[in-house]
Amino acid sequence: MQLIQQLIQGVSLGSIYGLVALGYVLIYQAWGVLNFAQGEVCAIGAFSMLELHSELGLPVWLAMPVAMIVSMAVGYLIELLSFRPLENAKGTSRLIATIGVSICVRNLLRVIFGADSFAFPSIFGDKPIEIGGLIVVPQNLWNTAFGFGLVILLNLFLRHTRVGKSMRATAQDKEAARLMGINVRRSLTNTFVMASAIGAIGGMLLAPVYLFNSNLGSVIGTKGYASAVLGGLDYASGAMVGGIILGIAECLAVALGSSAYQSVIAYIVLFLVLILKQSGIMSRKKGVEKV
Amino acid sequence: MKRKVLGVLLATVMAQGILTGCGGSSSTATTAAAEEKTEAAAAETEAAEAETEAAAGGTIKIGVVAPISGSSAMVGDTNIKGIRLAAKQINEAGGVNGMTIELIEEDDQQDPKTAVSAINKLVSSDQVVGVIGTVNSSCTLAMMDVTETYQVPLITPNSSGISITDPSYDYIARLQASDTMMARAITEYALEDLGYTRIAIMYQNDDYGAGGMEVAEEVMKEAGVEPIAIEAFDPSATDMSAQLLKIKDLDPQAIIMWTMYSPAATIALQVQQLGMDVDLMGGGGLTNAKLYELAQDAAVGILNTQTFFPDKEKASETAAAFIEAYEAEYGLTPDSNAAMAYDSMMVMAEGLKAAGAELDPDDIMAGIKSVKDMPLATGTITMDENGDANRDILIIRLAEGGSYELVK
Repeated sequence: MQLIQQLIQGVSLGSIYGLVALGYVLIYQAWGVLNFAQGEVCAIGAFSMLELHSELGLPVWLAMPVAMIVSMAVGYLIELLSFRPLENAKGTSRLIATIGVSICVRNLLRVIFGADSFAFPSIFGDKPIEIGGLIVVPQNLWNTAFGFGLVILLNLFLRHTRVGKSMRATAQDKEAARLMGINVRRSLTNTFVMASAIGAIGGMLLAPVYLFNSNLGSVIGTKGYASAVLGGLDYASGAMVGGIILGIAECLAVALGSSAYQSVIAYIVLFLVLILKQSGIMSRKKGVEKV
Repeated sequence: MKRKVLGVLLATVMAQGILTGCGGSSSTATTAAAEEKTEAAAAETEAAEAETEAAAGGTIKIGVVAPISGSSAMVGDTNIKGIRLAAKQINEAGGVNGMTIELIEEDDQQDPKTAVSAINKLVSSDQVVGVIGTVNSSCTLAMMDVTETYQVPLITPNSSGISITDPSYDYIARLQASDTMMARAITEYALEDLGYTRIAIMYQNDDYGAGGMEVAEEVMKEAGVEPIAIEAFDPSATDMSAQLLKIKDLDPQAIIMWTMYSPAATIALQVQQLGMDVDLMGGGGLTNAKLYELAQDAAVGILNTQTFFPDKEKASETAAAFIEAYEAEYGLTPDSNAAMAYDSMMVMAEGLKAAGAELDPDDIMAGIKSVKDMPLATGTITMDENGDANRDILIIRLAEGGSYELVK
């Protein structure tokens, strides 16, 4: 019984990791670089929602979309200031730029909000429901539903809309896309802003369940990165699978092993994937090209 | 293109410069304000001292270092209030060996470098006989290098860092309860007073958490009780449901959690969410208004250790007398920091008494360390050879509405 309960916890934790991972994958596909500031975008989502709801008194249904727009604007700024100027630079330089952005944003949040934790009131209810001896928290259930719903919506968007199709074309081959008359520049920006929105949703779903502080971005960013690598960086739905596997692994590590190693799990997963199957478990590719 | 990159980079750097610039200037402004306040306060004490000096033979200069500005300024303020009250009472009762105590107060701004220049000023230019201070362990440790070199007795009211009372330091004593003492007290309370046998331990995975966990485990084993589970969590972890589910399966009566208030709030919230019926308890790090703010009703009932609680009915005779005197002097209810600072001055006075007219630093330290069963504001104090205060430890409970109540 404990194991099933641990699985439930793992899935709800993992669906948030998955949303963060999704941002990594989208940006990696389009830009060919891992955006280590993705965790920070989640933190911006969580903090903007907190500020809009608790300080400015906006109702949650309004605070959520506004916070998402704020995060998209910040995402656009990050793209404008640190991605676009380095578009033709070496992979390492671009990677280091994203780490710089992440350090900058994290410390800005600390200057503004301090180092203390914050709680956000529950949106979908935190009163647990008992079903046959198992405890389900409505908020967690919604988080999982949201996570999967977003992946499906994203897939539909990428496959069936004009903007989505041009984003996919750009991700596959920039030159060919350009020759086909696609505005590659705009496509790249669209992808970045969309990844920021998805990251912000991850942060906003996390806020009502867990306490968070200005360090949230680095904690959740690492988990998201590990999930993305696990699921495969070339496959959007793989991110969700990677996230859920990581969430379950973290819970089972405590249930069956020792809690002292819980925070190491994400790194163990990273190591194993990089050694055994570099392209991630969901990827159809055999290897992965060098960035 | 290159020029563009440079432009953007420069803009970013400039933006950062503006931001840090603002931060810097605002903090200097507050420091300046605080300094003015300190000066005013110093002038006040000087005036008071001048009055008493006329009546008695000589004065004994005692330095006080506290964070009067910075984020611990609240603690520094109550510390100084407690010390001033003690000095006033000592002087009114005839002083120490016929001499009155004169306080010289310095701000450490909660910064080790500033603390060192403050202590240097006190020792070299004011030539104080002893020093009481300060709050942050890092500042106290930095000051100890100076007080050891110049052989000046130092008593810290609040710093709880384990390395402070290392036997290699001769001129340090502290009133704060060490983590070892607090972990022992709460574990014994669970075993003896509550009669629990099914106790789990949760600790944050660092020096602080592991230190408390080891003491709790040892105390339980001494009593012949095996902890049902010992679970670690990362200090920055946001989710502890996996650990709690494991503990829930083992049917616990209590969870001893060795952590700060913020992870404790997460534990309390998730315990409630998972429908667990269990007592939560821990050390002094849990006493914070933020605990209730974050966890609300889920935090009600959390038990933790404290050195002092302002409850006149349940307090000891000396504690009640201190509360009354403090309220009469300042019109405020004292907190544990005020009480420990008050006691520090009282213990310092014992050392001074023992040293007679010569005031030899070794005699003062010997006098401080020979304090035995002395009833004070924070309980009955006995100093040990390393300078740690063996003391009674109180257990307090977070009550409905976020206030605390004394349990034991």
